[in-house]
Amino acid sequence: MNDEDSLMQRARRLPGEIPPRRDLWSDIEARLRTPEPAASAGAGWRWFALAAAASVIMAVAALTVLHTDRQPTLPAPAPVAVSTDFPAPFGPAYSLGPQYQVARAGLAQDLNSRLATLPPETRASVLRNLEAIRAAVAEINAALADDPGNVLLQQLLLTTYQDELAVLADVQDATEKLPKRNEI
Amino acid sequence: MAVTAEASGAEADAAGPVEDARLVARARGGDLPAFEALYRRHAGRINALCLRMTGSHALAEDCVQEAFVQAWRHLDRFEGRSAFTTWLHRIAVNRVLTVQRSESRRPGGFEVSDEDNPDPWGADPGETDPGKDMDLERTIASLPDGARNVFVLHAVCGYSHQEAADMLGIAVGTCKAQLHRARRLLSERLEQ
Repeated sequence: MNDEDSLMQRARRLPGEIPPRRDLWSDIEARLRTPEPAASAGAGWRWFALAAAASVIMAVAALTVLHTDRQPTLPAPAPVAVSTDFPAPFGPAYSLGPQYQVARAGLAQDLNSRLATLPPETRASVLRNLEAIRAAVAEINAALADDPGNVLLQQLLLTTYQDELAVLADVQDATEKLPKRNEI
Repeated sequence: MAVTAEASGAEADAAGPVEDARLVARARGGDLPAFEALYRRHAGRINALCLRMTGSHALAEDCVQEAFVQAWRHLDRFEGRSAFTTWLHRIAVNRVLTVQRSESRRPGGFEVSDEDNPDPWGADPGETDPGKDMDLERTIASLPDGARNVFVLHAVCGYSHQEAADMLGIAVGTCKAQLHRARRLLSERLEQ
């Protein structure tokens, strides 16, 4: 018998059962007793449409930001109040990595003040963009609550969070390139 | 009755599938104690699979919990064409693959992350065979994800290449190649 056959035989003799370190039933039972959120008709496709819409809006917003960057004008500061404590949930059984949370918090920190310095059209595009992305996140999370193991949904959620980060980064980038009043 | 590794890829024991079918029928009607009985019968086997595929007690337990929650929610989809344990294994493998993808996206890649138990095969050697088995378990845990997944399903659980490939969503040829790679790496590492 060669070494590899011996290896396969050893593998087959490994214990077929290894009990969990703790009894998981109480946690499972608690989840089973919690009613699932009802999936509304067509919800499976609505999030897809919203995500697609978010992508389109983002492309428009990115173009607008670039256009604005090439034609620097002094924007009139406008009061803006976008929620910056928007949670980034990843379904009930998931959490996003700490590095992502730190990066997101950093970009969101001065979002309102940065938005106030953008031209009105750009600002409106960014706000529509963020609103669409956040609606998409809510829809995807609702779908994930119904189907937590759905890899497609999880990937879409990650992509949507990345889209949001990209928009926040665009805002930061655009506002840092705009001339400041005291630089004129 | 203790379930041997040889049987874990198919029926657990002669009476197992019948008892499972009886419990599944009751659970489908909302009988939670029947589903708890299914959990008690299969948790050890599902945990062994998840632990070997993830290399982490914490991740394995997350996968076990999620697998049983999903099984409960989708019991109506279990058609009885395969053993309940095989159906449950498929759900657990799906969950493990999701976790592996999620972990691999993190900076630093997939890592064993039990802070309280960095070596899942060293915590309580009294529970399983000591010595060479522990060496083999640790060496299996050191394999790359793709090779480890195939080795666990085919060599440890006893699934055919076709069954393992179906569960992992890969081609049979890829499954065979990953097994060859796993065997080569294991032989090299066990000799060291």
